[in-house]
Amino acid sequence: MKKSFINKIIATFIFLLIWHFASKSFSSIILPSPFEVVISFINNINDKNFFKHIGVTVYKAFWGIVISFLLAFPIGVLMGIKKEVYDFFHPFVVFIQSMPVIAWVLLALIWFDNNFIPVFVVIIAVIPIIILNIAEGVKRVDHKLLEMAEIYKLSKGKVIKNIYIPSIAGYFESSLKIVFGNTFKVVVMAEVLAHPGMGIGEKMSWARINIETADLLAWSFMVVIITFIIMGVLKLFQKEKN
Amino acid sequence: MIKIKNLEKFYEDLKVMNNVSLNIEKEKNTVIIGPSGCGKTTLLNIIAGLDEDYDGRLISNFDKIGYVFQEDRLLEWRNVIKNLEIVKEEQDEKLLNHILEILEIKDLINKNVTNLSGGQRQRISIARAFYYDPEIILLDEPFKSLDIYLKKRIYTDILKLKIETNKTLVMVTHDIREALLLADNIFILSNLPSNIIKKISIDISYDKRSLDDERLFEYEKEIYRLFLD
Repeated sequence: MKKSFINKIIATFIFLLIWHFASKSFSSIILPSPFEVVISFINNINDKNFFKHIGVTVYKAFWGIVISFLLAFPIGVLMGIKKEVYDFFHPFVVFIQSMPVIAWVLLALIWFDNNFIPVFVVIIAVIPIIILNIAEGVKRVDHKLLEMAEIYKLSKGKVIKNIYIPSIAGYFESSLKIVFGNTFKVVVMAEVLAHPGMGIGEKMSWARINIETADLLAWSFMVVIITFIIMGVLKLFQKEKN
Repeated sequence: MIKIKNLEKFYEDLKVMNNVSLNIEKEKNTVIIGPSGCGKTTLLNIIAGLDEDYDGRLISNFDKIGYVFQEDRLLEWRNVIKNLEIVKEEQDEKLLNHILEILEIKDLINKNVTNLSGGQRQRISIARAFYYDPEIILLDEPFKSLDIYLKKRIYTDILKLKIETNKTLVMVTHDIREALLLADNIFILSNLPSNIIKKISIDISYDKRSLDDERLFEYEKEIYRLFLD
């Protein structure tokens, strides 16, 4: 554990070193040095609206995820239980999943208010993952355990609590990981194009327009940090559970 | 009791049971013995009500059935005590303790199922069936995956529980000696499509049975002959 941590530090250091020397060969518009990015980052933190921008993005991502789970859960469960429901929804799910996310962003630009576009795009990007994972979890419920439940006349509540939920839990957790890994990339992309006025994507878009490459990278790293924090919290929850 | 008459069962085009008729007497140990793949588990599933796709008649006045499956079918994410308590709406501590003592698993109750050995898990599955307190318990080769020492221990335990609770037991196995030691009535199934080729009733009390016994030895020879024909 300790050794792997040291390896990670070494890898990061080597990466920063290569970046630093590479930046010397280019202008700071093409490739700013790590120091410039850090300075940009500190300037951003000192901006009074810094946390507001982050807050807006996180808020939209949060609602996107919540709505996705609320919609995906019943559909996924029904798809897992009934083959007919699975056959009905599967083409739609695959269609949503296969269409490029950018196409959905462009459509959303026509359809929705700028503030809702990032939420919509998160839903579109993550809902197929959740639906398919939950459907798979329900499908894989051990029918031998269900027979046992039938023999011992276990109530529906007991079957759901003791057989279905624990069986789905693993699939639910893996879908959570993929969802959180993807959400912030998607929500920021939607913000860049939708210009909702506030948010990390909005700031990145302005950085691009003003050709402030260091600022663009500083905000990008902010997205990485947020994703890291959320994945860390998720891991903590998992550890606690085990 | 249970009366099965002219039972026929198909798996698609394959006829697995042909005209099977047998009676299961109350408070007796019935052992159904036959070669592997002759439909013994199917017969138990039909008795349990898990398989309703058959022709023929099944009359049963048992409502509450316990089942010790071939695999233990425990909930891996629950500990031992939760796996037992789940089959009861109202817990009966006295009965539970009694069963745990006989099966010698009292010190396991707070353990995680995943940390137990195969023999321990099978004992918990047996405890679950007895704790449910059914009128009849079906056992599907419950000793199949166990070594000879564990086998002997567990069927001694089952006999102890049987004598104390006087439950009706129906067990399927392909082990002739197991059948001779446990059964009041033995039904012998033929190869596919299977039917009952012989019923043997053993009138020796369980605790006096030994494989050295002349009469059991005769039964054993007879069953071997039937299998080989």
